[in-house]
Amino acid sequence: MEAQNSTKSTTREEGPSSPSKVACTETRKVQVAVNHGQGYIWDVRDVWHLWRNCRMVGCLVGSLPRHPHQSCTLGLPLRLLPEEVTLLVEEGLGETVRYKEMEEKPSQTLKDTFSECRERCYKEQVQEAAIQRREQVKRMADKILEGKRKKFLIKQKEKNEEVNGSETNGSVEEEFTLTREDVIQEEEAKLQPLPQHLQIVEVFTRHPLLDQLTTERCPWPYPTTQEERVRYKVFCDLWHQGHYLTSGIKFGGNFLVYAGDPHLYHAHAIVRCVREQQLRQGGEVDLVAATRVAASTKKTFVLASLDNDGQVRYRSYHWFEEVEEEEEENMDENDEEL
Amino acid sequence: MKIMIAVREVLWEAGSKHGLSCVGAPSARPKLMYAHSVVIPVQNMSHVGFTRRKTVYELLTENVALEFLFCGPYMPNCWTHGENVSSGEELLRVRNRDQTLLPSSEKVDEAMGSWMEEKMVESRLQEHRTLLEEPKIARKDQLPTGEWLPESQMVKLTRPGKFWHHMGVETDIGKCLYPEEAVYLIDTGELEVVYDGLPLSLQQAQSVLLQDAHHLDQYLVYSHLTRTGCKVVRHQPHLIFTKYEKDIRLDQHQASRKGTKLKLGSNKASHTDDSSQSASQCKPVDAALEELYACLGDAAVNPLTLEKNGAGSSVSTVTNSSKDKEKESWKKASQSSQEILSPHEIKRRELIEMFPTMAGSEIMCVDVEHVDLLPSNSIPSKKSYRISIEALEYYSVYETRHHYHYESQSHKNRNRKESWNHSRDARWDSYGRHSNWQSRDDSYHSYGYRERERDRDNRWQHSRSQRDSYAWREDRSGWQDSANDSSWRHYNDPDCDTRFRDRFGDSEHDRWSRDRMESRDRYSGPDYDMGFSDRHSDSPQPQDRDQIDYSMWPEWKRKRRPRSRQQGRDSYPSFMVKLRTRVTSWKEYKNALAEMDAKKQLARGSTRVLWEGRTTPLLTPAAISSSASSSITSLSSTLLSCNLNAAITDVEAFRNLIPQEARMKVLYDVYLPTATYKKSNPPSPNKRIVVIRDGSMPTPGQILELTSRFVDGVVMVCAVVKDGEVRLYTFSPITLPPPLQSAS
Repeated sequence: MEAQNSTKSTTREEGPSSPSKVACTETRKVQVAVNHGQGYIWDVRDVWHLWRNCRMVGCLVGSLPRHPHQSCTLGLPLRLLPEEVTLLVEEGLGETVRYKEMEEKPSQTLKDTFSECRERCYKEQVQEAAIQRREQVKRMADKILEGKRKKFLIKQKEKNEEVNGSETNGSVEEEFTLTREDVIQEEEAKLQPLPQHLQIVEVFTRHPLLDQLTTERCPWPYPTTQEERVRYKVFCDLWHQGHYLTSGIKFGGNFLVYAGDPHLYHAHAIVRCVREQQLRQGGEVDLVAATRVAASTKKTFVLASLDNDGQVRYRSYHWFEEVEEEEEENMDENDEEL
Repeated sequence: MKIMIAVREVLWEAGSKHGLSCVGAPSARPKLMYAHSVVIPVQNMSHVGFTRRKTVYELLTENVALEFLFCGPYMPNCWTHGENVSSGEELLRVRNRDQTLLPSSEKVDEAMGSWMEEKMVESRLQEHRTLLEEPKIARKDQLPTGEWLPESQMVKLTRPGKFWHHMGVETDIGKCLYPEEAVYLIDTGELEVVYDGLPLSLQQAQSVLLQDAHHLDQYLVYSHLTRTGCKVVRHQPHLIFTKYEKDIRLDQHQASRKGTKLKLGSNKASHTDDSSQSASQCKPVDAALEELYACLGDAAVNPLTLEKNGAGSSVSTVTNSSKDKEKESWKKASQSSQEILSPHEIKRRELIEMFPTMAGSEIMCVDVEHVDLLPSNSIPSKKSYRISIEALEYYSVYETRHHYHYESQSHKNRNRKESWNHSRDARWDSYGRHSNWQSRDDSYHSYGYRERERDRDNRWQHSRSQRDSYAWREDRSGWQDSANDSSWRHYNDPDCDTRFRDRFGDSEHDRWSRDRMESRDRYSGPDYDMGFSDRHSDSPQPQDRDQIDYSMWPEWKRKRRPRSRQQGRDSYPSFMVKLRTRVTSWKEYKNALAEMDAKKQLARGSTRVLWEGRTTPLLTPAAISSSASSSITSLSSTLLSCNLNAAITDVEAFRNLIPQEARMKVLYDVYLPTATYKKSNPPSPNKRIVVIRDGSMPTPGQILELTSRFVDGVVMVCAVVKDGEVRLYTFSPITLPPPLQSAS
């Protein structure tokens, strides 16, 4: 773990783009790009940082470069829950940013920089292609040599058969004097630079010249309504307890709670956040429905609400078939079993 | 490669059980225990070919989980991510990368917090990261390109790719992609979109091409569906076919719409787009028509709008000779309003520009031609006549009604006049078939033109959609048969047929003259008749003629007898009011007339709102007064007259309940991966998608309106986007299975 972290920090420091590189890498803030009111992460390093160190999962919404036409494994960008963004900002782990020139027409300097990049990239490709070709030739040199020898022999034979009667064939076989080096040289002489139209271009996911744009702080007003405030409070509380959280829309809740990284583990609880008033009003039908869903997916249904002191209280409900569709209420103040 | 099998914290080395070279011997008793996971230590993820890993997967039994254990430090040797732009070296290397994807690995239910699990999490994260880090690449000559046009909100393709098969739209400025399509293609690395010389990254495209949060949600829905292999296209409002229409294969006839182009123009583009979108909510066919009319410009005035604002009347002067062409251009305009035929397009526009438009004008002055050109028995009393367009329209409607059965017999040699009538008034025609002719007839009889207008408008609103769908098809069949250009002129002066017969000695002509015989008396109105003025002594005096009294029913019409056709030309029209219903006695006839009168009274009175439109009170005042004597019979007859079926499936009713802006927009049509889709001739979609805005759930009324909007039974799917996840819900009425009958 330690070793990895250190290497990562070195690679990060190499990046000329990050202005805060002088500061400790651990405090490097994750840049949450805000687009149309949604928080996105576009940098793999930031995603990695969130996954590894921040217990933030988010939701990948892009296509995977390797295999774009499928929806099992998705790619960048990573869309964050609004709660996650607020928490990142409050914990000082990240900041919400917006790029001034993003929606404008590109300036001339940007265009120049970009064409420069493309040009350089092409030149590198030409060199690299030549190197690759040479390596290929070296690898195949023996085979080529063998092939040439065979061809030569066949030709020789034919020649011999033509002039069979008149002369002897003793001197002819000695003529094949090609060596491996000769073959390599021959092939390298044939080498052509990579033509312009065959160059590889990158279709960018992240803006390629992000460091050239003016970064602006973007206001992030997230918890605005009462419901949102409750939700955020619950999110914070569970996150501070060490859980991993994702969106719970799949199972009809607000959050799904994981004990470990969601890459490996299943969620074990569905959290629904309610206000205290809603709790008193009841809603037995909803409760039964939610509990049944949770039971059939081997999860615990948890109602989360704020008490008068602003503390989060959790109530988990289990649905036992033996007791004839009655819910048993376990009051877990500290939510030990989560 | 070293393979070690780890069970919890106990490491042992197994033999070549799984066909992989392993070292060492187990420290525990491996014979008694099954290995439950295999850990492969590797230096770097990129050293492991994914195909090889896959074979390892297949080799192992399902009880054994395979994980890669990273012993060395993580070294992203493939990508130096100091910079945002990958170097050329990297890109070239990526060219030969493995394209396979691992099956998504199983998840674990319970967290144990063991070393083993830690390593597994680690490796999975690594693996995912490697996948994410790869750049999207394409060879330059194989990468389709496009350009973002901010003013029209479209991406113009400079080099189309394979996706053109089901994406994009042909516009007047070339091949274009909608924003969501372009963003998706950038995401999959299949397209490079240039904005003012700079290629857009996905990040920038999402903020530039997509306008707001809702648009972003729409894009997510689009990409979600497209990734799974569905073909998602913008909602095509014209693709509505009932089962019956499909059975008689009317839907396949749609192919003739092929040449239609979306008008982007200069800066009207987004407006057109929006209007077509917003219009598509309630009147699907209308929207398509409207869009097409918008394409045609001012010259081709949408008859629908013309009728609506028919109050203001202006006078325009047109010469008789140009009037023919005017008609022609009108006809062409109405033709191409249904469908644009690109070869004729330029010609048509030229024509339209040559002549003054009839838009908005109600009355037209027509000069009389030279005497030689007129029919022999016509003695024009004035040098010019004023013609009411509206009256003309009415006559042609009247005519169409009579022609109807006739046309059905002789579809093939339908002549131009008919087709003209048809294209112009087919909606009337179809309307007539839909609703009751009778009421229309009597209203025509005594109402002034203005009232007729109002009456028509009311009905127009109520049965608009049906009529439109009808008119659409009717038109298409109507004008396909083209005839010679002279037919209109021909028709103008019916009595000179002998001259024409000499000139056009074709077989069609006999039919022609016969046709004119029938239509002559019909067509010659008080202000238009030239042939009849000498015969009818009671026709209006010449000096009165230039003042058309629109409140009066045309003279000839009042005199017309219903069966004059059979009785020959010297019979006089009848004064009797024509009834739609069959009567057997004078008493019945009078009753019917009285009823008619009562209806007229109602429709004029202060409570006329009640009697307008399709839904009217079941009991008329007359019926109530008479019901004192026989209440039961009148009640039963009332119930009989009420069509219960129609009442239940009255879609219009729901439409009127929900305001336009509250209706949910149908955004996409979806074709499943198995469906065959051709852009030029799209079949009916498999699903229609509605994207819910801002997480607000639709009300039952909205759902009801949505599900009853389309008659073809295509499933409505409602997409909800929450936190980047797309959830799809289907609105479809289901019939519950009947309760089981207990076997007695």
